Amino acid sequence: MGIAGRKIYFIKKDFQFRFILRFVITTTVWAAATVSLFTIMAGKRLEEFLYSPHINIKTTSELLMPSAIHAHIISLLFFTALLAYAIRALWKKLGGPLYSLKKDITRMTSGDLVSGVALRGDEEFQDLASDLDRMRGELRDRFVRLKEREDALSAAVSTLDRAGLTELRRGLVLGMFPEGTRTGRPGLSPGEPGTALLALRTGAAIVPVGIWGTEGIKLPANLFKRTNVHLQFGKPYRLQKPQRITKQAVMDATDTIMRSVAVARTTASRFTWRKWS
Amino acid sequence: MEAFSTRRRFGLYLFVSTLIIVLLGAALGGAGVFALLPANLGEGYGAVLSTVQGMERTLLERVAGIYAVMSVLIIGAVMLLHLFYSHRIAGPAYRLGRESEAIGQGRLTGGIRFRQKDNLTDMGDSLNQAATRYRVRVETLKDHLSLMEQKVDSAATLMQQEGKAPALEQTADEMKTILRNVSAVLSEVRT
Repeated sequence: MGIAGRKIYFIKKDFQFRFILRFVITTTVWAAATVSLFTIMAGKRLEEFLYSPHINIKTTSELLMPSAIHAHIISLLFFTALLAYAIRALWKKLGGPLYSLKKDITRMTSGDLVSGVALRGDEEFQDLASDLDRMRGELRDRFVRLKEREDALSAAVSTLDRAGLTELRRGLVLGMFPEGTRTGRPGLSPGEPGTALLALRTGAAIVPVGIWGTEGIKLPANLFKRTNVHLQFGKPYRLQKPQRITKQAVMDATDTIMRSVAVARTTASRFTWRKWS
Repeated sequence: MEAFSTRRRFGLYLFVSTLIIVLLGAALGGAGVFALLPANLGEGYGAVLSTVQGMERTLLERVAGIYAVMSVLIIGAVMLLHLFYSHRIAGPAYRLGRESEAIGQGRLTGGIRFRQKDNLTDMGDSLNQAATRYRVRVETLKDHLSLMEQKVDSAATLMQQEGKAPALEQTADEMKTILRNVSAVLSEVRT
């Protein structure tokens, strides 16, 4: 709905209904007060007139106008006060949530997408708060994804830097642990993308090596104890070089590498292997 | 706590407009009551007494009747008036909701505009500012990532060549610098 085309005036029905109802009640109270006051004052005046010894009034206006004016002045003063109170109360009711929402927007502007946007249950503008919170959630999801990509990119660059590309270019062997960490438990952890990225970039052959037995070493208790550690070499292979090295291509290559390491283990079935994600 | 920002004298206009309607209604109601009552009390003591007693009997129902009719008109006018006034808050609130939806979907145009007499303009400005800030962040990230892409391509080319290790190391350093810039932008946003 554009600015110029906003022709529907009852746009937020609940809010507008409550807004209008407040003034309808005020006006109704005023009308009832005027009727009561005028009837009482005019009735009293008529009563006085009936028992008056001198009748020197000829028209109804002369008789009842003072009562009518007094009744209306009093009721209008009452209405003015009531109206002022109603507007002030309305402003107070709208001011709280709007101030809170404005603060939330300012907080989001400064980069805080953690704290949610919420109002108290009885406050106005709940739907606006929920729209703003949805906006916060969606922006947050996007930035979380960006940060994840940044982490992957960062890992890849570090690996590139660390791994000594020149070694590979000189035809030497580079040993890498694709999981990038020690787990201390049996089974494979998800692979990091660095190994795959290097292999894709350089076209170097990969010799998968399965290692197990190291998880049984507990330091310092096993420092002088002989422990059997097994290494199983798999069949060397080269990754198929894609036309363009995309994130997906790196992920797929990482999966291939991790799968070949798992296969290289003689007791591969004992181990779990989780897909890189 | 600050009061929420409205157009200048919005509350005062609302107050005065409502008061004028009720004043008009009161004047018309008063005139209506006098129109329903006999204008003259009559000639002679007996006629005057009879007229006044008649008025006394029917006063409440006449006043109530005329004010019931006037109240319908006044309340109708008040409802209409406040519909317009409430729309000057409800309309912008609706637009703010739509704009926040657009920002959530990634349309960071920051182009929310209100009508001249609309309220909540400060909220609109805040939301526009939020959209602009996020757009600047996203554009900065795009610039860095585009630079990163160039460096990745250049690193890939260098890897295919012999004896380019220093150049490759330099490229890796440049990539790290770009990544630091990316991190700096992303660290501005707490997720």
